[in-house]
Amino acid sequence: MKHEGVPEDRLQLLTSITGAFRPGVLTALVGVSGAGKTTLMDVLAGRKTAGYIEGDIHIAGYPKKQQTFARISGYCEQNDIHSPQVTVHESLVYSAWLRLAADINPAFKSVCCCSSSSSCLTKIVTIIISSVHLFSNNFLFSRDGFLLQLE
Amino acid sequence: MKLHQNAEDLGWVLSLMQQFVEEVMELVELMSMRDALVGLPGMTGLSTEQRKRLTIAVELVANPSIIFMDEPTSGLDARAAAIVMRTVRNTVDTGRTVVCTIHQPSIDIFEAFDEVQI
Repeated sequence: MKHEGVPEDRLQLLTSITGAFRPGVLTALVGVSGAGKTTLMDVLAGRKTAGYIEGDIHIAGYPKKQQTFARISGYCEQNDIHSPQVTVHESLVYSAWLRLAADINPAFKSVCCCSSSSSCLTKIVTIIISSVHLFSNNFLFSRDGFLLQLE
Repeated sequence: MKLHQNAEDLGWVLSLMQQFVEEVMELVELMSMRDALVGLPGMTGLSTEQRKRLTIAVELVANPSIIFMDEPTSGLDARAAAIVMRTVRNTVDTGRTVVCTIHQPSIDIFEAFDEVQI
């Protein structure tokens, strides 16, 4: 870039962006190649730490807090990495486990790393719902999500 | 924030959660692939399109209220893209907020979206 006459060491990629995404509405984010679509999502999701992120991000008027936002958001990257030697079901269980607190009963954990027998599934189910409860107690009380539908 | 740690304490939610897990797998239409090995991309195991749906499922088990997807239909043929968009639509219909980046979408994919931000 410097040979092409761009003297700066750092370039600003995103600035002054606002948008509204509504629940139950599928929103497309459209732009030309290099417009910063992926960069914007990386920054919003907090998944990437490369580069510099400065300034403020507000969600519904409140400053974005990464620990909170990571709890209520998901990010499907373009080339996600999956473990080749596990099954679809085990992938889901593993993902669920990574999102739970480190202090959860380890005996529970060992039970759940085995194959997908029905008794094991029951344990997995317990673990996942405890995570769902964690969310429902804090954020999802007013949303028409799974838990609300099931109840 | 304290999680429940005993299965006994959560007996009453087991049937609910059983249903939850089933619904997530049904939502991304991976029920029949449940015990299939994930495998290596382009070589063994799941196809590119099934892999994309697994990526969505892996995020869904955290029960997020907003999901970002980076070009979920890129690199897929028309049929595979349609299947992925169907599962994305299923996800939206659960009341979640879904934001996808798209690039050179076909008309069928473009029309699957409710709103566009440029």
